[in-house]
Amino acid sequence: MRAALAIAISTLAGCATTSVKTDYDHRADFTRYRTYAIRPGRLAIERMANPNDSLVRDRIHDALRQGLARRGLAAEPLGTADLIVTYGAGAETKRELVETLGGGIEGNYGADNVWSRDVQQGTLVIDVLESGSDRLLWRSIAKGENQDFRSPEFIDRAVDQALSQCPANGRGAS
Amino acid sequence: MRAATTTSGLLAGALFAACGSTSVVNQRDETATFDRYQSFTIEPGPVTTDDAVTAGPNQLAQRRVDESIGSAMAAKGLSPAKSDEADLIVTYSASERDRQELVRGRMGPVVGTFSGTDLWVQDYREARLVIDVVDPVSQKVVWRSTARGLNQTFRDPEFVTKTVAAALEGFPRAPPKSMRTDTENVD
Repeated sequence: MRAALAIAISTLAGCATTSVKTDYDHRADFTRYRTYAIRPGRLAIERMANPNDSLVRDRIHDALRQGLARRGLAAEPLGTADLIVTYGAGAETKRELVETLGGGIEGNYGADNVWSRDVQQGTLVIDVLESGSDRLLWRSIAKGENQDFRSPEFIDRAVDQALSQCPANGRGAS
Repeated sequence: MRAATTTSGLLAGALFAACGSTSVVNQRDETATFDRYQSFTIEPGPVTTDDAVTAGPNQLAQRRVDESIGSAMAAKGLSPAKSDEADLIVTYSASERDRQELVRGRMGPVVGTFSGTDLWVQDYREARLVIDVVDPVSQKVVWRSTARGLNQTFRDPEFVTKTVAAALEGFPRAPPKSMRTDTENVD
């Protein structure tokens, strides 16, 4: 019984999950922004800079272009666009404690097994800044556990979930 | 905070994880003459997280902290001034990260019997803010506040406002303008 419970919980613990949190300038008027330009961001592996990963960079740029187009924003060159969209992407191994429920004696159950496990965590941060001032208007942080942050699936899902919460939609009042 | 060592220990642990709480500890230089401080300037500090990577400085959190500090210092009768003219420099550092804590408890009576000690993992998010008020002439910290929020975030404007207000609540008020000495006219 204890082994079955431990295996079940370990399996659940190892499942891939993605979470997205956002923050924004509550005083910004997002209705006046119609265009954007992408500024290449930072890439890291285990907190070490990884600037030459053009595969991941292209995947992020493609996902951003598609997501921003769905929100009615048009692409323009840096220097003329209303908004600058940039990002940071990386992965690191985290060690965390996990508990399991043990079996009981005469019907008592308690958490009495604790061990550590290594978790692969991928992070994609997207920043939307006002062009010219570089004032940060909106930020999203997407985290995926037990996922390859370099995979198109994670990037597409993270970008899609993040941009769905962005107030800028290019359809503001003229 | 350790969970209670009864059958309600697990429930208490869950409540701890779900609820946000904030604590503030202040330190003050007792040798500083606070009644001569009339103005301040703010130097924005770093707001870091435990994320694997970041795109750039967390300006959103910085602006919230800056504005809250400005309001709190103004409420103390201090006026904002340029960096090279201010009597005080207010700066800060902030961080937000996931924490884990091992909690030991003892199961209470279930079906009439007691089991042995139990160990479980408490997950929470910690937001920490340290505010330093510096006398630029002596280069000494005359006031330091350390605030720690459990399951709080700098993305929450209300948390930032309340925490900064609590951190600077005990800061001495500036003397009324009628009592201030005009040093420029002293021979």
